[in-house]
Parts: sequence; C-alpha cells; structure tokens
Amino acid sequence: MGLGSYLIVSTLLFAIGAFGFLARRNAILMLISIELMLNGVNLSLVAFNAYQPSASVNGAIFALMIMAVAAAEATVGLALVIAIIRTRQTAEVDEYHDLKE
Amino acid sequence: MRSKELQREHSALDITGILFVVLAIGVVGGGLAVVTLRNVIHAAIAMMVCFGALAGMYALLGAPIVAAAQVLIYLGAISVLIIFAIMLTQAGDANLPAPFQRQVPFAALVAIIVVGLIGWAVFQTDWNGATTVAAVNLQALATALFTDYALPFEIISLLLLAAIIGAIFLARRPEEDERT
Repeated sequence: MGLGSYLIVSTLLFAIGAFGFLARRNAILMLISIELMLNGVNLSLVAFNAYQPSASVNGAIFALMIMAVAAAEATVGLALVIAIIRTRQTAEVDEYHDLKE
Repeated sequence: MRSKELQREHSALDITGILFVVLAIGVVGGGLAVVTLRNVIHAAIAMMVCFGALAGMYALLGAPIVAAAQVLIYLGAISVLIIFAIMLTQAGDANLPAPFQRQVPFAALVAIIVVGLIGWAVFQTDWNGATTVAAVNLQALATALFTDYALPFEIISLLLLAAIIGAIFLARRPEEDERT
C-alpha cells in the first residue's frame, strides 16, 4: 500500500474526468467531470503530503485551497449553465452553435 | 499489475489494504458511472458516491481535516448545488438524448494517453522513501494556514465573494433587469 497505488487511483480519476469532459454532451455533466479532475489532483496532493519523510502540512493546505477554488468554479459554472439553458432550452452543448452560422 | 497488488493485499491481510481496495473501487467505479450513465441525476448520485469514497481515502491517508472538508464542500455543498441545477434544467427523463458526442474515440484516446504517461512515470519512479503514512498535525496546519498561507487564504475569501456575486448576477432572470 505505497504511494504508487494512491497515485494510480488519482490518475484514473483525472483521466475519467478528462474523458467525461470531452465526450459527454450535457453541459452539467461536463462541469461534474471538471470536479472529478480536480478531485483526482487533490488526491495526489494529499497522498504526496502523507508520504513525505518529514511531517508536513503543505499538501493538505493546497488541497483545501483547491476545494475552495473548485467551489467558486462550480458556483459560477452552474450559474452560467443555468443562464444558457434558460435561453437555449437545451443542455446539450452541440446545440450551442449560433456563432458557427 | 492489479492482481499482483491484490495478491500482496491477501498476503498482508491488513485492514488498511482492504479499506484502500474498497475505497479505490468506490472512487474509480463511481467516476466511471458518472461519465457513462445516461440519466444525469443518476450520474450526480454516482458523483456523490465517488466523492464519499474519496473522503474515506483522505482519512486513510491521515488527513481527517481534508476528509471533513471533502464531506462538507463536495458532498454537502457542490452535490446539492449540482442536483438543484439538474432539477431546474432537465425536463424529466421521458426522452433521454444520446449521452456522448461524436468525438468519443478521441476522448478515450486522450484518457488512455494520460493514464499511460502518468502510470509509466509512477511505475518508473522509485518511491523508496515513501513507505509510511504521516498523519497531518492539525495544529501545525492551522498555524501554517494563518501565517505562511495567510495571503492566499484572504485572496480565496475574496474569490468566493466574487463568485457568489457573479453567480447571482448570471442566474438572475432577464425580466428582473428592467426593474433595476
């Protein structure tokens, strides 16, 4: 149960989030995928912090700051998505093609 | 690779290893369910499972303060926010559209490249110094947060204030603009 196993889980979570962001059509699910990616990074930071030879708190503080920024990002992102859905009447991102026409 | 790890688990048979495997299945399985489930509300529930297992993993890593923050912020605040957003916007599950865009192969390729590169780096690196988990000292964390990290802490409070005002402005109904 070394550091490597935690890093592999963190990598898998980040990759799943990246896949979801690129592949899903629903705007809210794209935001959820961004949260998954942020959580993957958080797990790697906390794991690195826990396995440091000398006792440290920097990784935990980075993780807490990322959580605060993620909360701000989710708030503004969901407000944007709700505003777009209200005007477009759909959550599918490939329907948002006004600028292309 | 996975089976070798599992074998090591069975030989050691310690509670930490079993908990790690269970939580890892929760995290990765929940994440996979988030990106594959057709119904958005089911995906949001899977996201909550994933975040809850992740909180357990933080506790396993000796960082209970991060685990508590994970439960409070992600399970408590962000999940509720997302479920509210889904309920405000989705028009029932009568006719669910196709969940994926056309660039699924490209997205899967990106994910596989990310896993391959970082996994290769993880397995190539010798983590000989990293064997024991050191618990986070809560007092040291609080002291560091209000001395060394005081400026980022204050900037984040400003960022949260800006985000709240921005969200209120963005999500306001358009007809209310005419009254102001």
